[in-house]
Amino acid sequence: MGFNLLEGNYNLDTHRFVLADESMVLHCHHYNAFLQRSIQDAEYIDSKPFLIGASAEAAFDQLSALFKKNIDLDRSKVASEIFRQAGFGTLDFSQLDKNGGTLKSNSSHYAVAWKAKFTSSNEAVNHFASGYLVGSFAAIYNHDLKSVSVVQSACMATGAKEDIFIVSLTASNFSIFEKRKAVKIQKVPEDTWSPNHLPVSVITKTVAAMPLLGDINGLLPVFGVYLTRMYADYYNRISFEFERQLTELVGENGPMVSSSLFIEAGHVCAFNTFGGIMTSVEWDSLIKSELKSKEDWVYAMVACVSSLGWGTWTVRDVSEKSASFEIFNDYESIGYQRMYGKSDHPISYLALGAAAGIMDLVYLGDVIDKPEFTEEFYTKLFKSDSTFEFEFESNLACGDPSTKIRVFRK
Amino acid sequence: MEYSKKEIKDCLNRKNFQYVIEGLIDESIFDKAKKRSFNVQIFDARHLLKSSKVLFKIVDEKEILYATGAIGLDIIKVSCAKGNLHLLDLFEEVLDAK
Repeated sequence: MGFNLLEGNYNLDTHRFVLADESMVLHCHHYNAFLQRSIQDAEYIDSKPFLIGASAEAAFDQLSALFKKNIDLDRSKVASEIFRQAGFGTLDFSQLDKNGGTLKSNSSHYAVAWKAKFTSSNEAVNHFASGYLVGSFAAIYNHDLKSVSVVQSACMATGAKEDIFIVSLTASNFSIFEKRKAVKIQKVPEDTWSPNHLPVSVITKTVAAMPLLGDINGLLPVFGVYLTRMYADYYNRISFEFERQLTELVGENGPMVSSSLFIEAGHVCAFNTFGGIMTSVEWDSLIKSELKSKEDWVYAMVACVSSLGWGTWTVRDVSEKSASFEIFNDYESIGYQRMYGKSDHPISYLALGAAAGIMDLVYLGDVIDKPEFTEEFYTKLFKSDSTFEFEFESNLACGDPSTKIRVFRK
Repeated sequence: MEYSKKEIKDCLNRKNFQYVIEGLIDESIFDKAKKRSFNVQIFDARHLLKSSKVLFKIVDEKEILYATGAIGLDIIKVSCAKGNLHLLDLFEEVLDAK
């Protein structure tokens, strides 16, 4: 039997997808490209080293743990399969040997995503793959991360026919971070505050059972977007490292600036992924017949969010004017605690932007009527006078028992 | 099957279309697709969610064209990589087949 990323890695009690101690979360190409671009647009921060280092860290730790536990695994094949099945494109690790080498690929999620959102790039953009490649290479051949390096010499986002990466045994050219700490995952209360007629937990279980794996080209087109099953701590590391460096540079305004970027990324995610889900054939065939009101649409969408591996999302109350969401083990807080300990300010920015996005889609955008997902529609939802406001009521990263978000009309 | 077709969204390097079928889709579409060398993937979650419908995905062997629909619905969404629209003709043969 070949390696199957989906086997046994999703936990229905915590709604986390974990392979070898790495949490993995579903997100779309819009979010991936937008988040990276938001970070790279701040030219006063040297982000490339941590954009590569973040995925090197996740891949190295995951594969090292996996290989330690399963000594008979075909290491190169497993590294290639995780990359492909998670929707990142293709990387054939048999092109490398213990000394490194040149690896070429003609399928890349990030290149496709970049071209779709931004047309093209003047420079290589596949930093995630660079990091995954060098981190996996180190794990496969038992090298120290500090003694390996990677350069992407060609990128399809620039118009090249293929991505080309050169991996060598020379001092690392990317950020290397302190080892992350183990964090206690909280027990989730059984009460999920759902209306009696709506089988919220069954919806989560059903959507989580969908076989969402990359195709032979390592791409996962579903819900009108390209999905990836991304390392939660890749997102966390690049976001929080950006915020940390920005704060070093500009002082206490750092979190304010970074939070606005990352909340916007949450809106982008909600608009495209949640909008795609709620207008999909999958939604119509699996879920829609259960829904009797707009409030049900919110409950059902939140049930789907829990299936994405983001932790347990619940709705405490919802009306056309406001909603309260409570999230247990939200992946941003878990990641922050693993990397930096307790935070002095709420950091679950994606969750905040995404929760508000659900309300905007259902009550402001009438997603029930299957609107066209255009730039104008995005502006109406997130940049108009009617757009929902949002705030944290608590945040797990700050030491609270859960993350609570309030979304309300102005 | 009688159907109408419209392009719904130009996403990335793919063309996306929506087919609205006159009447509801039934399981005969599986055999018709297989006869034209498409693979059929089925997701049946009725044991979990009784009211759900059987989802299917019809895919060519190179995984360039995807057609997603459900038994008992009247809509099929098709996504096809640009430059491969001949596969769309082949898929329409599936819909046209008696």
